[in-house]
Amino acid sequence: MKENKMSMNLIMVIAILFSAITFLFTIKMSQAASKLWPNNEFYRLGDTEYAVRYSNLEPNGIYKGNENQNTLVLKGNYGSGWGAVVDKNVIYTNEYMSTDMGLTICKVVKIDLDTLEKTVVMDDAVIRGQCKSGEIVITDCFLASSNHADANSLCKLYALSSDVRLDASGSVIYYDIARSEEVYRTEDKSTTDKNFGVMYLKKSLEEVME
Amino acid sequence: MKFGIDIRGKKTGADIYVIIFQAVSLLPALYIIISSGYMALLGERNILTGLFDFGVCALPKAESLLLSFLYRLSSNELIVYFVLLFISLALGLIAKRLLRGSRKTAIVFHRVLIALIAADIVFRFIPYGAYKGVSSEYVICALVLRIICLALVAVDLAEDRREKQI
Repeated sequence: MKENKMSMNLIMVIAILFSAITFLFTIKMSQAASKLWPNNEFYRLGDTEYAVRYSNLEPNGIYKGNENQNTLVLKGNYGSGWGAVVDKNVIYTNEYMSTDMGLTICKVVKIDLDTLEKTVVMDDAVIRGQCKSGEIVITDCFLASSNHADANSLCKLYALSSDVRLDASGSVIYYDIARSEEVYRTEDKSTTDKNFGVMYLKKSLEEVME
Repeated sequence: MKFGIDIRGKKTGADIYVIIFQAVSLLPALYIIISSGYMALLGERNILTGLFDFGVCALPKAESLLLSFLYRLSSNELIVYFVLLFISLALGLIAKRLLRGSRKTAIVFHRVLIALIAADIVFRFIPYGAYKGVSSEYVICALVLRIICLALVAVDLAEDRREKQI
């Protein structure tokens, strides 16, 4: 039996050493492969002088300036278009993070463009847009559908210690920009509904509350 | 199979528990390492998904939660992977040292194992950190496995006590 236990410990040591080499090969290879198809997109944030860059050639993040002359002010993967709401010198946006194995995680952040201070508004949540009366519409318990959350065991492990649900249901949250607080929440709605825009974005908060 | 504590070189319940613990630690690790080379695995249900789910359920619940917290904090599967294997290796090395050491330390180690496994079984009934999306068959099988492990280690102590009385 002593030999068996020895061999089990030995198996663990071999697994650790072997996997370190394997990960170095597989992860680095996939990262290198992603650079084979160059991508460089530049999206202006509202009427500000800032823009979001998605690129595998230069660092992703918020840039100041135009497409040709710009400087990186904040590194990260941020949302643009419907995924970002600009209010004077403050941006509410989605911050996407990708794990080494491609799981996409998102949180809602608030960025002050004067001080470049970033505050997390909500973890595991995503901005879906702005409703007719101006509140930001957020859905919580978010794990991107591209993760195949219902089949992906890593998603299950991620969700184990959190409120994140895997069945694409969650709460729709209305967040008031002026007061910087949540003003309304509807529970257990299907957040991947095709009519989400009609149900929540094209209506004012009063209409949704009726 | 002969149980008992002071049986040098013989199979004991605690030895079997350590092997089971290390084997179930390898199940989630297998899924992570294979899908790192073939990421399409992450989008479909297959035998590796089942092994991962069973492995996560069969690990002590506190450890599963720790790994989940770590995953959420670091957003990195590799850290989770290596922590999982290092915990398993650490238990194997500690067990090797204590079970083959003095009789007194072997008894203390058995008692600690019994307390931890019993606490784990109780913790499994607390709904915090529910196994979302995991088939209930895996959860039940993991609970049964844990009860068997508790029995194996407890038999060691019982056998030892009986031998002492004789």
